Amino acid sequence: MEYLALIYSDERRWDEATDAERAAGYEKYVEFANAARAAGVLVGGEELASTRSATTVRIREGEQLVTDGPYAEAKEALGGYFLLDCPSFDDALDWAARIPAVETGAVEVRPVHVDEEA
Amino acid sequence: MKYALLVYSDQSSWEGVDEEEAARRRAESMPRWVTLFEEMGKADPSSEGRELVAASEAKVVRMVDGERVVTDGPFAETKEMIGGLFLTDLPDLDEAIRIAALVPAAEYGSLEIRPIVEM
Amino acid sequence: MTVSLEATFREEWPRAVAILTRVLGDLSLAEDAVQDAFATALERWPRDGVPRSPGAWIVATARNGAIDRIRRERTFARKAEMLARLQDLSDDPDADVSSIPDERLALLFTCCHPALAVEARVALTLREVAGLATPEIARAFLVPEPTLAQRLVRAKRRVRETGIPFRVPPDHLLPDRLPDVLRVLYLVFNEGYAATSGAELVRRELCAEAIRLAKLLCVLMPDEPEAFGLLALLLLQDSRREARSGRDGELVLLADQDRSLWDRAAIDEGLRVLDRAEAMRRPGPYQLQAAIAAGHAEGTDPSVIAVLYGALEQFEPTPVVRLNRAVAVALAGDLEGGLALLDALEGLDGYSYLPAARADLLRRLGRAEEAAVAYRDALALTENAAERRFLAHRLEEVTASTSW
Repeated sequence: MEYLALIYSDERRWDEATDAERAAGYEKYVEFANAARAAGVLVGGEELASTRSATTVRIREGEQLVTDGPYAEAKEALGGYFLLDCPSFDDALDWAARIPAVETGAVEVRPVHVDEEA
Repeated sequence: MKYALLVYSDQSSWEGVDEEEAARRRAESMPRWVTLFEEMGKADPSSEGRELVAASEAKVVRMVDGERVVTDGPFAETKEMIGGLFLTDLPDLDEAIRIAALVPAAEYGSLEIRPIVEM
Repeated sequence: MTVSLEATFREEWPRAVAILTRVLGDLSLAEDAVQDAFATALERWPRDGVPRSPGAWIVATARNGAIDRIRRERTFARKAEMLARLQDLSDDPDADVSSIPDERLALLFTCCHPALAVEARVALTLREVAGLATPEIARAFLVPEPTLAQRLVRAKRRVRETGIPFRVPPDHLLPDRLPDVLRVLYLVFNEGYAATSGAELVRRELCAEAIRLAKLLCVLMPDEPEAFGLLALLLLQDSRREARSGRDGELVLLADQDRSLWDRAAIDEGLRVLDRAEAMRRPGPYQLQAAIAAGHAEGTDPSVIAVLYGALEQFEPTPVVRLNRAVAVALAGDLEGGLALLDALEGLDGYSYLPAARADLLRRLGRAEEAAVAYRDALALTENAAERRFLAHRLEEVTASTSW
C-alpha cells in the first residue's frame, strides 16, 4: 500500500546553512533514498523549491485569483516528499523515522487514498 | 519545468460523511476531474498524482532527544489541509496555473504550485 | 551625466533589456549585460560622441559583453544554446534599431505577472520598463534603498524560479492579464498623485512616469480600448494636480477646486484619447472611470455621472464604486435615493467616507440630528488632519442648527 511522507522543515535553517552543511544534508537524503530503493519501498520522491517560489491559485465566484506565496506561511514548510510502498502504516512510519528531517523538523505520513473499485 | 501541484481544502466538511454521501459528492465533481485528467494528460502524458486519506488519519514522526515520537493528526493546524498532489512537467508557470485551476478543489480550496528542484 | 544622455539612457534601457531577455531567456542575465553596456557608454560617449544609433550600439555592446561572459562562466547545459542565439543578434552598432522586434510589451507583461507580489510588479516595471534607477524608485516610494534593491533581486529571482514566461500572453489570457498591467500603472500614478506639493519631485514625477508608460502601452496595443481608457483617466486626473492641494498641503474637494488651475491641455488630450477608446465600442472599467473624470472636467450633468457609475458598477461591483454611485445619484438631485443606496452598502466598515457621505446627505435633507451622529462616526474613523478639520466644521454647523 502506498504512503506519502511529507517532509516539513525550517527553510531558514537551510538558507543559512553553509555549502558543506548542505552537501552533508543532501548526502543523508541520498542514503535514505538508496536504502528505501534497495528494500523495494521507494516509489518516488521530490524536493520542492522553497516557498519563495510558491504560487497559489484559487477560483472564487468564477474569478481566478493568483497570489505570490504558499497556501500558508509557517515556521516549518513543506520541503519535499517521499512516496513509499509498504505492507502497513507501521512499516511506513518506520521508514519515515529514517528521513533526515525528523531530527530538526517533522515528517507527516498519510496513506494514499484508494478507490473502492480498485 | 517540473511542478508539484498541492491540493489544499477544508476537510471539516467531510467529517462524519457516510459512504453514500461521499459517493454522491464524487459523482458530482466527476466531470471536472475528467477534464482535469484529460488536460493534464495532454500537457504531460507522464503526469502523476495521488489523493490522500483524510488529514485526521495522518501521523507525524519526529526525533526528540534521540527518541522517536509519533503523534496522531496532521502536521499543520491550518484551516485547509493537503488532500492530494500532482506532479507534472509543463512549459511554464502560466500552464501550471491553467492546470491547477482545473482541479475541482480550486473552487473551494487552494492550489499551491511549487517548482520541483531538479538534481 | 548630461540631461540628454540621461534621456537617451531612459529611452533605450527598456528596449535593450527586452531584446536581450528574449534572446537569453533570463531577465537577470539580460539586465547585467545591458547594465555593462550602459557603463561602457557612459565612459565612451562623452569622449567619442553619442553614436548615430544609440539603441543599436547598446544592443551590440550588450550582445558582445554577454558572449564574453557566457563563454567564460556558464556551465555547459544552456551555454551552447545561449551563444547560438546571441550570434544571431545583430552586432552592427549602426543598425536601424526598429528592425529588431520590439519586445517591450513582453517585458511589461512579464514584470506585471500576477504571480508576483504587487509591490514587486511595481518595482520591476519601474526599473525595467520605465528605466528608473533603483535609488530613484526607492525615494519615490519612501522605501530605504537596500530594501528596494532586495525587492528587485527577489522579484527577478522569482521570475526565473517559478517559470514566468517572457511573452505577451496569448489572446485567451489577455482579458485577465491586461487588467494586471493597467492596475500596476494606475498604482504608480496614484502613488505620485498622493504626494503633496511639499514631497520630493521624484515622487510627484511618478504621475508623469505612469502616463509615459500608459502611452507606450497604447502604442504597443493600439487595439485595446482599456489601454486608452487608462491613459485618458490618468491625463484627466493629472490635469487637476495643481488645484487639488491647498496652501497648507490639505486636500481640496473637487467641487471647491479653482478651475483656472486645471491643465486644459491635459484635459483636451485626455478627452481626445477617451474618444479614441470609445470609438472601439468595447466598454470597460477604465474607460468608464475616464468618462466620469471627463464629466467632472466638463461640468457634465450629475445625472449622467450617476448613470456612468451605474455602468461602472456592472464591471466592478465593489463597495467603493457603489458608494460613489450613491453620492452621484444624490448630487443628481435624488437625495433620498442616494441615502437609501448608502444605507444598503456593506463591506465598508472602517471607511470614513461612508458615514461622511451619509452625513452630507442627511444634512442636505435637513435631518440635522442624524447628520451630527454620522459626522461623529466619520470623525472616529479618520486620522487625516485635513479631513478632520472639514468634518469638525460640518459637525459644528449641524449642531448649531439643532440647538436652541
